[in-house]
Amino acid sequence: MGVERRRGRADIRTPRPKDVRIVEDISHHSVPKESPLRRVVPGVFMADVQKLLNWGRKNSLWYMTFGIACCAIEMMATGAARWDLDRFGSFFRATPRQADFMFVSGTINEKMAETVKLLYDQMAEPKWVLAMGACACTGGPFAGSYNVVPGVDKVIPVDVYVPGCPPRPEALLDGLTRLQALIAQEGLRAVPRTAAERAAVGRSAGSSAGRPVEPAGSDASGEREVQA
Amino acid sequence: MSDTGEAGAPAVNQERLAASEALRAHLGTAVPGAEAVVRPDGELDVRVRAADLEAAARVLAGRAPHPLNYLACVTGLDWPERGRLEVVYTLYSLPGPAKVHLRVEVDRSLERPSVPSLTSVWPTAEFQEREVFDLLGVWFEGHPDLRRILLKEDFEGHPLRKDFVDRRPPWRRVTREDYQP
Ligand code: SF4
Repeated sequence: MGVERRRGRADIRTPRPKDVRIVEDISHHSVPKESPLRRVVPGVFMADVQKLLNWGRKNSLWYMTFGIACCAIEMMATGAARWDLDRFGSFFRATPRQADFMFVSGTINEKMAETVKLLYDQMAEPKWVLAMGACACTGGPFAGSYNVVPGVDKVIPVDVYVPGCPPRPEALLDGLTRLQALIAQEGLRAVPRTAAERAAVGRSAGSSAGRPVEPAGSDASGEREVQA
Repeated sequence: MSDTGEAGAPAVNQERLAASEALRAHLGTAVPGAEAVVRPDGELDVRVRAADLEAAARVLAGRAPHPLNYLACVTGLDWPERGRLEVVYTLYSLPGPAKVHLRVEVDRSLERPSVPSLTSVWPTAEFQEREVFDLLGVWFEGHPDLRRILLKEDFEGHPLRKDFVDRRPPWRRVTREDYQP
């Protein structure tokens, strides 16, 4: 009986398909439906490169080992076994050169602001920033102090804000999934540097993929909306 | 000063009280300019003029058999209504019961209000005096390395002065588009 059970699936013979079949359920597909490129054999998946790239990026967000204040304790808890950020493909990296992503977890004073900026600049593109906690969002309890920067978005661009003092790990995980949703919408040029560049990328990708690269709402207000 | 004579206050440490009394009598002869007061809680308050500070410190630090060999804290205070800046050295004796607050005041309207540094008596004073210098703007004469310790080197003013005004320009939010690496 044991031997029988051990016969794996590889032994089960499936008839070879007589013909390729049309996969209909790939939404947002840039290849026209009637194109032969959409004819696939079972076991072969197709997607547009942009989608694959975004999928890879959003599921391997390696974040920098960088804690600033009390919020960092909660970030470490989120990274540890109980909340387990690893299951989202996120790991601590000990150097900005290998990090895609930075949790800004704490109060930014003016001296630390220089360090945060330096580390951000050392990270390779594409890169994202999550402001964790009241301090990183607005200065929190220390806003208005003579040495505190009222929010890390005064120093580096921020993609997602997670309020709380400190935010619970669940809130942080929510922030991370929101960031993933944001990344899922990004184009091949994840980070257009200038407004003109951004407009150009939006036009070309928008015409081929049928949707804008930047999420709607990335307008003068500067907020990047998340459309999950 | 502290008024620990109220109901519910912890019992006065009698040994400390006796040590303070002895120290007060000793200081009266060793440093005539010092005004020493034994507080109700048994601790000793010593007020000195800036010129006598180092002499008083050496007497306290060298006092046998219980030298005040542990400088626990250097505190700075701003008294704008009196026009004074005050520096308080809080001292303990590790072998004995004594606890002393050594106080010195300086005119806050001076461009460089200064008191002598006690780094040569208690090396611990180095960083703590830098902190008082950084936040309150008291210059410690004879300090080996009087620089800002908490704030940026180019910070303007001394923020814990009561009349400090934050003159930083308003903050602007940075976006990806206008970020300058
Ligand atoms: S938001 Fe609260 S918990 Fe987080 S760094 Fe600021 S003070 Fe600490």
